[in-house]
Amino acid sequence: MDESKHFNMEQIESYLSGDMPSEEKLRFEANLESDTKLSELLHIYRTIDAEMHNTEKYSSREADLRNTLQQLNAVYFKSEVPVIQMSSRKQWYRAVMSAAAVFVLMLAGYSLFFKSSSNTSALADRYVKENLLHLSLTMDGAKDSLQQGIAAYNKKAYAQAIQLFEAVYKAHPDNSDAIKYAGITYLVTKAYTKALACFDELAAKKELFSNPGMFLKAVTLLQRDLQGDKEQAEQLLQQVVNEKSDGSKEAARWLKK
Amino acid sequence: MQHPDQKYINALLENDVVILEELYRKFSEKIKWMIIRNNGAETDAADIFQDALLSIYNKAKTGNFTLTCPLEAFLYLVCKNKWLNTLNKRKTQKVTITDTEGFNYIGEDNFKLAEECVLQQERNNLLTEKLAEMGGSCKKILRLSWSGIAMDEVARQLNVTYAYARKKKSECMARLIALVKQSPRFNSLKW
Repeated sequence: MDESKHFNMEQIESYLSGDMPSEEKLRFEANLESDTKLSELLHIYRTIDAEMHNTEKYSSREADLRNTLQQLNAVYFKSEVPVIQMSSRKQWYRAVMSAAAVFVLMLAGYSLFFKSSSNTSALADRYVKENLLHLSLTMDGAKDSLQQGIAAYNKKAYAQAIQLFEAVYKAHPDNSDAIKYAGITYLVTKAYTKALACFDELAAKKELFSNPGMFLKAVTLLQRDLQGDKEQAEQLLQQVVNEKSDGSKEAARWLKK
Repeated sequence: MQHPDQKYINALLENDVVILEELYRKFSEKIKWMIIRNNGAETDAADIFQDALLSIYNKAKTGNFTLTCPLEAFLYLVCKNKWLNTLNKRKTQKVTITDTEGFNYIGEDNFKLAEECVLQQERNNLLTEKLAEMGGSCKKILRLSWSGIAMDEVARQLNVTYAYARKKKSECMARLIALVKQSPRFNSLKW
């Protein structure tokens, strides 16, 4: 039987939120002393409230951390491929049919992806895949830290790339490329909170003639896709279009879809 | 006294990719072999390792976590506890991992902290699972009330009175507590 119904849960809520009038509070505390079931219930209520409050508060950060750990897991642990023993005709037939099924599923997934490309998030996803997975060596190819960071990024050595980009930015806070590349590295490694912080910092550099900070922030929000992210991204894209800043062509195209 | 390996705890809190990569490089191999030696596969080791780090993060994020022993030993304990729980759930032949890789020196407090990390994560998993079984209006009011905003703001966002919001929240909490208590896992989670 559910003993929690014996008690007025609203009283517990009122007691924990500090709203309970002082006389009622005294009576409630006297009950807590004598009633172990009420005391246990209060303890569980308080534990759930505290644990879930922390879960909600840190949900975005936890999602970023989870993504980083997944990336590192892929590097440090092998995923196992099942070994298929194909010793008879029947097993051959099964394997061929399985391969055909996988092919059909892949084909369906491929067409679904392109059908949904009218969706802004899918367009942002394609933008990242087509434009941000490889960075160009834009200067004279000298082996400075920024170039080394770009080279590390292009080899997908993201941890090393981040280290280099952040070191450059720390030493030269006027180097907007360093903070942009650091943001992009965080974006592709799905560390969205850090990527957003970098792009905010980049967008705040009003002295730049060309500044993709706001556009990249919108791309990051579309990739993260938490509650409210899409709406915020659309507002930013509109601002990019209005101010004709970097990425305005893509922004205008995406907003029309 | 805080151990120098506290830097790895800070890296989890700050999602510092560079230090986290160092953590994987230094510690993942030992955990992999502990699990493979004890009826597991490499994919199990990957899941356990990641889950253990998230458990430590979840314990540390509330600000009350000081590492007083090497992370290698602490992580080994957390992973071992998690792996034993997994084997018990799979109802595999009773397995006891007796070795602690010579980590007995880490002290009773750290054994307790490692156990608490695992328990807190398990409680959280159970709560999340049961919350998902509840109706949309309960999920909404509970999530809003846990998001850190005051109850009068919750009421305003839901377009209801403060009194109704508080009543509804306590009804939803009663339902959640009942669901959690019905679970066979409830008693082992040391609330």
